[in-house]
Amino acid sequence: MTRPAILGLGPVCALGAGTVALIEGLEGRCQPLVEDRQVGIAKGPVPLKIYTSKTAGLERFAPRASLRRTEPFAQQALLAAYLAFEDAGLVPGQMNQSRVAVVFGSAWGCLKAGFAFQDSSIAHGDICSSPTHFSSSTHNAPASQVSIALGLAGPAMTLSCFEQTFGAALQAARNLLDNGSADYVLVGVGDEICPVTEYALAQRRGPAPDLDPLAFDKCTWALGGGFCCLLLGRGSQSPKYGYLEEIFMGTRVEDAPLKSLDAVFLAANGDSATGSAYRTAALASKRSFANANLFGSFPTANALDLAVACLCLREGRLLAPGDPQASRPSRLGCLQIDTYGSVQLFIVSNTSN
Amino acid sequence: LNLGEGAGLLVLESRQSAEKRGAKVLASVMGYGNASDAFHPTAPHPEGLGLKRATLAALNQAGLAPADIGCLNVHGTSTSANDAAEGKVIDEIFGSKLPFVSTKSYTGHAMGAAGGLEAVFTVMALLDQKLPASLGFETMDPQCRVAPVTSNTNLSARYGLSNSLAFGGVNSVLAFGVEA
Repeated sequence: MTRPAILGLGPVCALGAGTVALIEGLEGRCQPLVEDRQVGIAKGPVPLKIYTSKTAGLERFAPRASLRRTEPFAQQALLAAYLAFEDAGLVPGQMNQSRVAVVFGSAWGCLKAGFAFQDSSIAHGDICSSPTHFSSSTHNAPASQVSIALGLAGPAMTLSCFEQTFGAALQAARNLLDNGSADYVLVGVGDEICPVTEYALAQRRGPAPDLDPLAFDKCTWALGGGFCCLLLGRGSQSPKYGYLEEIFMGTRVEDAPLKSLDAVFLAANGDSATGSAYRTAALASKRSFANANLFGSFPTANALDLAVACLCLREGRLLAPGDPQASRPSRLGCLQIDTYGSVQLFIVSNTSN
Repeated sequence: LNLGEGAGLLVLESRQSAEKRGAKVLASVMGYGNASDAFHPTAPHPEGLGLKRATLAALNQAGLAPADIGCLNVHGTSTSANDAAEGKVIDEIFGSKLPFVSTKSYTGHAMGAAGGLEAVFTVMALLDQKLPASLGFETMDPQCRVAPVTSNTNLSARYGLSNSLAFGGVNSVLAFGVEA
């Protein structure tokens, strides 16, 4: 099985866009954009904290006019894609574009476009409903926008399996490299928030405390959104961020090879339903971190965890506030546990075979 | 185009494992191909460039030539843009003799479930050596170049393909085979 080389990262989240913003956030030098919102429900307004992702900087890659009909979620995906190629030092137009695959994923999909399409259909009837919102509402709209904008004509697919989305996308990407279908894979996942998800959260839970992913017994979940792309290549290519060493999928935390890792990044996101399993994982690990307080809570945020692990390998230290020691990590993991008990562990390393 | 709904599932197992437990193997997934048009958010490339590359990739991965393919379950949405592009690719790669059907004429377009359903139909066509008639086909659109089977058709096919296309110019082709 191919050990994909990780060549470039394109994170877009509440900390901003790009690896510099991510590092600054991890080291406590910048704060995530967290908006305080009053969400009206039948019982009255509920205060919520919302981690908002911004696409400032996209104009650097694409003329504003060309983005006129591109929905905000697809704009996040576009920015993440451009950043990943730029980070890798590769220009799509100078590559054999039919050998570059796009594997995207989203748990929630294009929520704003989907609800906007329904709103326009309800308000104006099917004759006058927005065709742009219709085409932008499908899960694979971001992948198509990226394929078109960057001219990527290799295999393209979009997956959606909630918290297992990123793991499935990584598996698919590795398979495409392994069976020779592509030389590079742009793998990216993300989710966006919208007024309906805010309303649903307010109905379900009420006012939220500050998100604390390591308070395993408490429910501190806070809505977030973002998109993260990784550019993968074959194992023989010189990797900027090391290699995707292993994708573990199981149903028991105890089976995950946590002890072999220098540190593990937990996708714990303030959901007490998975808290005890994450506690077990933290206890079984040499060192553990959780960064949902920087990104917010959303099902595909574990791609940002993998970006963080890659940056730690690149920087030669564990990027965390108050952790200045140069620990020279060489093998890091990102652990995702979903509410149905599925366990996914992605291991990255900077060691050559 | 008519909407539909449903589900189609295949149980996959490695050949080694199936043979070890003496299972009856219905068919084999010989290969697949996937390629993007990178052309338009909703319309296929008018020459079907992505579908052509996906078809050739599936044949290549399966180790098959176009002449080995005995039947095809097309995406066949009955929209002018899809049918014209898909017809051109069929004509270019297989010529006009390959029997094909759009089973969406029976099920409607089940969107995300269409690929699964049509994979099942393709395997069943190979197992039964029969392709059902395309319902509702009356007049040949010259843009399409090729016509589907209009009556229940006996096959002599060991290998078959199933096409699935999607918004965003995504094209995927599955190649199935049955024992001789």
